[in-house]
Amino acid sequence: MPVFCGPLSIALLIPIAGFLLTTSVSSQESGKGTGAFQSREKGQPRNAFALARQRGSLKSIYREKRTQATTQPDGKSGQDTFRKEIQPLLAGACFQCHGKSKEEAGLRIDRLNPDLSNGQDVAWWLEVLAVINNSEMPPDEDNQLSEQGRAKIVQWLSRELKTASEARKNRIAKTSFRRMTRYELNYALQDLLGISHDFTRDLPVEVMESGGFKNSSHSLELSVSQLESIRRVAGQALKRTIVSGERPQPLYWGLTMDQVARLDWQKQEEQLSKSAEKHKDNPQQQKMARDKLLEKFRAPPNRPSFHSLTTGRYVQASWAYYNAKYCNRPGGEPPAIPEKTGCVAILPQGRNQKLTIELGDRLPDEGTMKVRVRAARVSNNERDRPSLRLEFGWQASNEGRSVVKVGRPITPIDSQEYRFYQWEIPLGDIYPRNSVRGRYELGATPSPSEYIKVVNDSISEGAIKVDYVEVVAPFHREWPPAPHLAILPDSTPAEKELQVVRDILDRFMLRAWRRPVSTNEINRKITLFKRVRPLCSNFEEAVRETLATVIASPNFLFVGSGENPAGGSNSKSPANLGGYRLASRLSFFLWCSLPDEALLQVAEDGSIFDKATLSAQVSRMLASPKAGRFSRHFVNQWLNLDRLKLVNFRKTYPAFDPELKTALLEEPVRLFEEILESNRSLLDLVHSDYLLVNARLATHYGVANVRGNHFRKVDLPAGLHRGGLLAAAGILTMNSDGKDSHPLKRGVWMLEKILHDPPPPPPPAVPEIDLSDPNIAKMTLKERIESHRDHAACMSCHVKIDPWGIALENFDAIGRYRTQLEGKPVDATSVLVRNEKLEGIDGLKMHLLEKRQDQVVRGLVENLASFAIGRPLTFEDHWELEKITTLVRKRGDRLEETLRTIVESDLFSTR
Amino acid sequence: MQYQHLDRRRFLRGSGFALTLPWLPSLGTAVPADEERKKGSEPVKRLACFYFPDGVPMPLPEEKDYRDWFWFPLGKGKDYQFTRCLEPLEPFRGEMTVLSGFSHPASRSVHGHSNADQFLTSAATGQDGPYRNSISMDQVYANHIGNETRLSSLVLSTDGGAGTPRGAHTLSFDSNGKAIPAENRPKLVFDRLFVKRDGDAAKRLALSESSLDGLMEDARSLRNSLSTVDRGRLDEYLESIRQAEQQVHKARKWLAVPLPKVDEDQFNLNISPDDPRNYLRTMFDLVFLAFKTDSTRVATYQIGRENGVGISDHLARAIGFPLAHQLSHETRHPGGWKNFGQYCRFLNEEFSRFLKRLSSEKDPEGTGTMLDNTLVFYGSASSAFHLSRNYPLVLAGGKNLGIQHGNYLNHAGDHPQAGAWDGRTEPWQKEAPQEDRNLSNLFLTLLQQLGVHQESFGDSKEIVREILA
Repeated sequence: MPVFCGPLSIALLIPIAGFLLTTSVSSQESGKGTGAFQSREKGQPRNAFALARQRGSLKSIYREKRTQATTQPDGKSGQDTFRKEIQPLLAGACFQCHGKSKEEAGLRIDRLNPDLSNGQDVAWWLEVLAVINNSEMPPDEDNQLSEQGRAKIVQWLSRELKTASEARKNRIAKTSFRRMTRYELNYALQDLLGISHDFTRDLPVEVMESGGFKNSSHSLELSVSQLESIRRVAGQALKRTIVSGERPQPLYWGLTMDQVARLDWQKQEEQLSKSAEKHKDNPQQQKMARDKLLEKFRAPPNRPSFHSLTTGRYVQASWAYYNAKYCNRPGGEPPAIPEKTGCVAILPQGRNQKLTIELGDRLPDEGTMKVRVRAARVSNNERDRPSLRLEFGWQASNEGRSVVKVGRPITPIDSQEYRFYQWEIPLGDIYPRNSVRGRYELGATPSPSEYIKVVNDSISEGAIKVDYVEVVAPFHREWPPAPHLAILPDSTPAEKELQVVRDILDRFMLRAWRRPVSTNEINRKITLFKRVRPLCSNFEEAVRETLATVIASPNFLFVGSGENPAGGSNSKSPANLGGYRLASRLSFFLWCSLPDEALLQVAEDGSIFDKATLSAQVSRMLASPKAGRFSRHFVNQWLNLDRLKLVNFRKTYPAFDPELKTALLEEPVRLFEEILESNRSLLDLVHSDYLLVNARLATHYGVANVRGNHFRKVDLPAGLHRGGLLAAAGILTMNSDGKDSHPLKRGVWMLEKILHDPPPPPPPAVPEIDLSDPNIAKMTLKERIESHRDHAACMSCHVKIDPWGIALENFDAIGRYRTQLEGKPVDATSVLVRNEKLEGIDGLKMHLLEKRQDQVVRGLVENLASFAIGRPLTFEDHWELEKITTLVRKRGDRLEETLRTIVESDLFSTR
Repeated sequence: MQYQHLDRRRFLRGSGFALTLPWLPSLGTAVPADEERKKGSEPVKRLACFYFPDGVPMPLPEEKDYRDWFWFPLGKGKDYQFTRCLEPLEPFRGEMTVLSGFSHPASRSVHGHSNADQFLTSAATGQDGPYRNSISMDQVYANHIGNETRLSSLVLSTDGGAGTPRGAHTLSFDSNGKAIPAENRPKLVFDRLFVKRDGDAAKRLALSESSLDGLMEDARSLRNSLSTVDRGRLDEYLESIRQAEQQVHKARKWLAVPLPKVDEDQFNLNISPDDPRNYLRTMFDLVFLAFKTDSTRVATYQIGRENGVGISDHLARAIGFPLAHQLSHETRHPGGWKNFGQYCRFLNEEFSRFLKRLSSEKDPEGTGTMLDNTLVFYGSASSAFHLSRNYPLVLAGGKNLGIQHGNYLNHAGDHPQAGAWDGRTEPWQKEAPQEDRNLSNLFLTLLQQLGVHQESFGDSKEIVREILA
């Protein structure tokens, strides 16, 4: 594949003019519309960005009415037009460099086959269209193409591409039939079984192709090892759901802080008696020494400590692993909860403010550990909003230890009154557990004991006090647990087993396979049950074995289908099968998981094909917390934030602490969620007049008065140079090299993710920048890049990439805004191919909003659509995407509308 | 990387409700009949790896104990001299190589006590924080050869279990980098090898077989309703089911193969490390017997975990001291080098005895002695006090595997980092005076000689030509 061209993919396509459906008459003309082509607000726009967005929307090609595109020219007349009108234009403008005498970039336009529907040169034609449409070609100095000629070529090509796209669509079998991804399998099991475990942690991680998505049908293979891992996961998941036998006896820890602090108070007493002993011959000195010590004890340390409410003394909380002497042993009865206690633990703000509570070696391997902490905020400042976190760990010896975060942070602790805060932690998900449990006695070394840590998770939010901690494990709200009863009854007499198992399968298989199940299919599972029943020691075990094969079945593991989901049939309710497939596609799109019963219901009665019902389902699904999975996974994969997870610049940038990294990873997802939840414009990703931040990120950005670890929306302060994705510090950090910014990486990222126009890979022999040359060594980075770009081999690509990255030079390696660099003012101005100037981040955004809206929106639509249907999009989908983009732009680029438009499109309901 | 073998391994560990045996890492699956095995198949090749903790005595050349108790031999090449430390290995001079100046680069600046975990893996397991390990060299070979024998590998340690991150009680890590728990009770090892079966295995195999049959039917019926393109996708699933079924069939055949008969009376199997010499001897003997009966071709034994924690620290009782780890700290005491050296000598005596057994036994599965067909690797991940460079290493056996012996590959030279700790900066915190060679180069070489077609292992860069005939 020639470098100039890139892969045959719609990814190359720059939005093009030339055709719209008759229905897509721009509302602008009638003056009554509410779409993107109108100012979103009455009166004057608030600022320059809003103005730019308004101006830019008027330039959209999707608003134009092009009646000639509504009649599809047949192939022959397209060829005629080509010979009569287009070929001469191309000959004059292009053949000089891309023809017989010269083959720039290995391209001969004179040899391209003008039959797009049947010829092999579609990819080249797409590129020709892009460069002409963007006025990148022909180059300025010998521009032989009039605006009129340009328009003619664009028009012809657009029409031909549409025809070809539709013609090819019907010829090429497309499929999105694929197995579930690892994360989908995890959610599907959680939703199917009603228990929240991290089921798939041990499955291999899926790799993502550049520019693709993890759910992409062609990259999800299934080897025997994966199949076996999945079978293991299925068995384990059912074991955690379906119980047998008596309720296991839980262990209880009811711990007042007096008890947890016992050794520390003892140490303090020893200090007092030692001092008394030392001065026993001099009562006066003895008293002075005692008073001095007591005074010291009354000063609160800035470390986790205990505070006695009776004596007013403090003592720092200590812990050591050896001899398990800090261990708190459990009891067999539920503890009485004390009304008030004489001692509280204080966790000041700041990192590593942790209270260790050692629980011994009897915590079970599986089951739920319930931890309740009675806590309150110390300060009376309403604006202090500290949060609590829980950790689990152990230390067996000097070097053998582990501590991991478990559960979600509880945020914020906003009451001065004591309240209980609670976690339910699946012990089976904690890795690694202390593996010397059961091999060594409690008190021996290596120590088999385990602990929890109660952590003040706030950076600047004030202290937390804790006066009571209760732990129960294994914790069962009821027995058998509700998820068990949702599948099978409490007990089953032997003679009823077959009937019961049939009932179980009837319900379970419908949910798991997302469609009605034939009698045949159920009978197969009954046969299996009969076969395994004699091998199993009880009914429940046999049910688990049987249901495990429902989960490991391809009917569960595979989603999507190459068949038309709206048609096709092979089951007992043939008419509705398409409805079930549509329901599955919808739920794997918005929930990354199975349809729920309500969705299966509209599939069954066929109302899912009713536009209003489908739309209502989309609303309902987006309102569910499960929609958060879509935002998280889509944004993470689209922006490839996995790369940010691997970044650690702590050595070069001490400010790059774990809290910052967490916040950087979170911001893009939160921004996307805000845009979705408030149905805002996709262009808010380019620039928003608000920010999604927590305290740590606000500090990083220099936004005042944001307290607490939770993210919230705040107005963008004037002159901050933030808002949108381009100025999100996480994105800027991800595209740095740890020492400084990296304009090239940032430029490539812009082209790939925002402009949806990825540059070709670098040629194999790239000349390195020669830093041993003193002239080069003393240049600024920008100068070096410009010098590198002058190199002929590099220029053709870099001239397209660099300007985008250089415009971001005001951000350092971790995305902080800067105006100075090594004593010189930062130069963040750059020039695009057509002499368009980008001045810094704000200029870059202005440019995108004024001139590239179509490109940005079209790119995002394609990404969303590809994720939605679970396969990469190709030229054959070209026309469908154009239709969707047109509607999206007409409806004001709003994100929720965009999802709805995709769901309602032919692309989504077919193939 | 041999994906097919890795896959098989994951399958065995993976099928939680099917096949995995509780303490041995995996169950071999193929059952070549005896005659099938002998005719035309590759000659038997075995691998045994041993580890001892806490480093070795390394007095400075000017100290009086240098010539007696410096662990490494003096000199280099063929012309070298054992000190009293390694002296028990003298009879095998022609069948072994001593190596110095090898270590794993990723852990050279990590305290020696955290490094047993990476001895056979070369992973950057680090000092603290998140922990990741990778497959150990023995398991690469086990994945390659494991289905030839009843057990794909035998994983032993004195302390037992998996241990903790950076405090491993095992040398072996699976292809996901997870520790494979080691067995430390001789009686259980013996029973597993020669007496009892896993009573559940038959049931689990039957369940697995039923379930695979059911899945196959599901897949076939689904296939009929699919388009041609989609059938291609589903065929991958069908193929995986077929492969899984084959594994179950092979495993079922093993159930029918009688266990080798070994007389239990020759052992005191209820022995514990409180009787150190006999315990060590028993563990070595069990490895020998497992090899002799061709129950497995891969064995690892961690003689002790690092840092003097746990039962293995009591092994020093063999020479009249309470705790082994302490000896490595008290080298400045009068007689300190000698005490530490005597402990190492004790380990080497038992190691030597193991080599003797292998070399005096005609190989029942191949030509020459058992030692000729067995690669024996013995060493530690620290040398001088907590120093994670210049690992003390011995490679023995494998004459029929193209290994050339008789040399001291003294890459560390005559002045390696050495001496007792002076109470200030520890040796491992100091700048290295010279660059070690990558130990994974040696591992790669061994794996290739064992017949594993692999171009790299861990951070390997090249092979170690000096040990090749």
